[in-house]
Amino acid sequence: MDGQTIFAVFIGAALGCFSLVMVGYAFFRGNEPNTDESSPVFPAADDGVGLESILDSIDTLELEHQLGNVPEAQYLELLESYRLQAAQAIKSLLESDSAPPELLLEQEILEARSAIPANDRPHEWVPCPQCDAPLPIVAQETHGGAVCPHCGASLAASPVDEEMPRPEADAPSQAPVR
Amino acid sequence: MGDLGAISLWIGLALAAYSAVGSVAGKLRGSAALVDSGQAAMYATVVVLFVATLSLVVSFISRDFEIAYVALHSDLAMPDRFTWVAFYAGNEGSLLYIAMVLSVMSAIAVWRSPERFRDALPYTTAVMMLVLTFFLAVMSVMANPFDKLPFVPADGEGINPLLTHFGMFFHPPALMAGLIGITIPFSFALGSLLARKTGDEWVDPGRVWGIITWALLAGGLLLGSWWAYTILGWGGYWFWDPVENAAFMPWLALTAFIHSIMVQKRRGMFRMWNIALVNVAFGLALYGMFMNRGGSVPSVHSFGASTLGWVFLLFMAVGVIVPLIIFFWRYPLLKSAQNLDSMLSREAAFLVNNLLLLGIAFVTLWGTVYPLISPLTSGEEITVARPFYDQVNGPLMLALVFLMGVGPLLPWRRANWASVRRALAIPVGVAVLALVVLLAVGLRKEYALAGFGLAAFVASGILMEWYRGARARHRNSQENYAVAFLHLIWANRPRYGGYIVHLSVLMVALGIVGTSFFNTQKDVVLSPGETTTIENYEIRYLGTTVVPFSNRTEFISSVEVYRDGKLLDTITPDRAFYPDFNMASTRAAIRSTPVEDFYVVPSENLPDGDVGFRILVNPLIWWMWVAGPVMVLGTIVALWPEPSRVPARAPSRAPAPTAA
Repeated sequence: MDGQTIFAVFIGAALGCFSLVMVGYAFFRGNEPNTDESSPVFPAADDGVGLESILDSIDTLELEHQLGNVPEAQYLELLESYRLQAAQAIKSLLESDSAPPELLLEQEILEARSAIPANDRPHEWVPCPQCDAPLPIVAQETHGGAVCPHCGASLAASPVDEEMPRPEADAPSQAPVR
Repeated sequence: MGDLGAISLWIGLALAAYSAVGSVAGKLRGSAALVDSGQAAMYATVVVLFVATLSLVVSFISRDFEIAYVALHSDLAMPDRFTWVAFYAGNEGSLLYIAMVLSVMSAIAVWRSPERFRDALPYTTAVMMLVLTFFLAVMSVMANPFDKLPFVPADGEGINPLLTHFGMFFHPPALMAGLIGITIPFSFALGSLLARKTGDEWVDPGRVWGIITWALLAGGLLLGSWWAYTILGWGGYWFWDPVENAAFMPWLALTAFIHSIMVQKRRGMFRMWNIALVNVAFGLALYGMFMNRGGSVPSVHSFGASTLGWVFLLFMAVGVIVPLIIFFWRYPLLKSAQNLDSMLSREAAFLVNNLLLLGIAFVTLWGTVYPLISPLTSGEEITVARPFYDQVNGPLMLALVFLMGVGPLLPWRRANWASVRRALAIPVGVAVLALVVLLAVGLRKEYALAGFGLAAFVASGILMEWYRGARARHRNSQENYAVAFLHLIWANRPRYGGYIVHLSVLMVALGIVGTSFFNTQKDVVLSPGETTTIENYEIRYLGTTVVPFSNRTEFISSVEVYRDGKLLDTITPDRAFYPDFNMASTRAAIRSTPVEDFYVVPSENLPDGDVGFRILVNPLIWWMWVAGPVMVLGTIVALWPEPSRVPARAPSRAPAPTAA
């Protein structure tokens, strides 16, 4: 055998050993399930894909509305529908074992707020004209085209903000464009 | 290095086969260790095939002519920079390149696959590795790039002269990567079917890999057209050659797929349709590889001496029939989550777009295989050429461009006529204005008018969307228009990346319309000092310099180009003759501007010093080549990952420790 052949056999044997180690390692590391959460092979955690997709749809709808491609009435109808879907998706997430901590925290805050009797609520809070859920005034002042997160009702003409201009039919709203 | 390469191939084959079998067996037996082991084998193929690839590259660089493939595709005179081209210049090397690309793509795809797809991942891995096993088996047994000659020749036969062009560094590898890359979205689709995950779990990886392979094919096709334009010497860029068509058809199917997969991602619709589309794309990709390797229709691109045709035909049959059986097996589970709300919606526009794209693909397939069918029906072989494709595909492509303008202006779910009228008013107005101007300047060719009018319609629609979005953002956030526009794109990358790609398609369309309806060609023989005119150009042939090289003789002509009596440039088209190949290759001299190309190529060098020139004026073709980088930019924008807005899930709650 010449030098090149010996080199080839040596490297080839090393490759073979490497392959055997790669293949065999899984059997000697204690039969860890390949669904191990910490496995670096699957870094993406996307259980919230349903919610992600709905949020995407809301963003797209907002953009289409800004661009004038969706009439106001249809925009509000679709927005309400997407928000209901999002609420259902969040509910499913909360009911599952793997709810994100951020959502759990928000849920606790919401429950705590709801537990406050209406008369004891601070003045910064006003009831939704449709479902009576507590709503912060500041949210309406900051977001002109806001809707109630509980029932989807438009807050544009709520009694707390009579000065707020009502969006014209078929005109783009002033919500921020993504 | 040949021995090491051959050993690596055999190890790779064993690993790929083990990975395919182990992944499925692990899944069926519920053995996580076996599944992990199968995936590890798949990762190992990357390392092993990298060693094989490196072995062949080193063999080329060291001109190891004992290896038959190296002796056949290189010689001592070949510059080292062409090593990369020589690597895939023949059947065996291109198979190794394909195997390497597939193993890398598979590893990345599995590594980056979504967690919710994990249940189906062993099947997906198995499909990828079965395809890889096929290529490695063919290489190891029938077309080994490391086979040795019984003797060591003093010099090799050299690289094919047509391949010594800058475009060849990218065109073949991009096309081969694109064709084999379709395996990845196909594997995700098939894996989800096998695992009974017939929902939308495979949509994200399917979409990403669909776009990547689409972009590779698009880039490969454009670079191939540019190569043909500059080196083949006939002044055109697309010949409807069977192998060109073989790459074009899967690109069409993928174009349909990357649109309709968005409907599934957004609305949970078209589930059956998307799986069917990716199967069609994979089947057409296999057909393309079959055509390249001994397919029954002759082509300038195919590896003529290949005897692998029947193997690839068999593989194509299996690759089409087995997925079809699995598809019908899982058919009852493939119900869409939503129905089409209205025919006046973006979903409906995508559906029509899909049908048109598949229509063009079918027409192209029919034209490609018709020479094989015609002897059975008419008793003689009939070859179809450009007039057939122009007449049938031309109107379909115009309809497609029209939809490209309308679709993005329609909202999801449903639109009403009032909003559609409002959205289309400006683009239609711009298109009418463009037509009036074109008619006023005397243009009377109907197809050209339709092409330019539609281009104006689509471009104005896209620009209008950009302006409206930037204006809304400018009003809300007080950003200046440029910043607002960039933020708008960044915040809606898939959508605006798609618009950029649409603009690049318009550029290609401009080039096609310009060269198809307005080009001028003249073939003329000139003696030194003689002049000729074409349109408002005049050229003066000055003479030819003969430059001998070790492997070729170059005939470099000097030509002065005048326009309206004023000297523009002195250009030097050349023609080289390669005696070992008994082949001539040309390099056109092209003076390129956005308005038109002035193109001169020597078609014949006569013994008395006269030269036969082909001279062309090709309007608007510059836009076709600029479209490539624009398309790449749009693809990058569309694919740039977006951070998830939904918080990552909490770690599973560990069981409470039991008391000691």
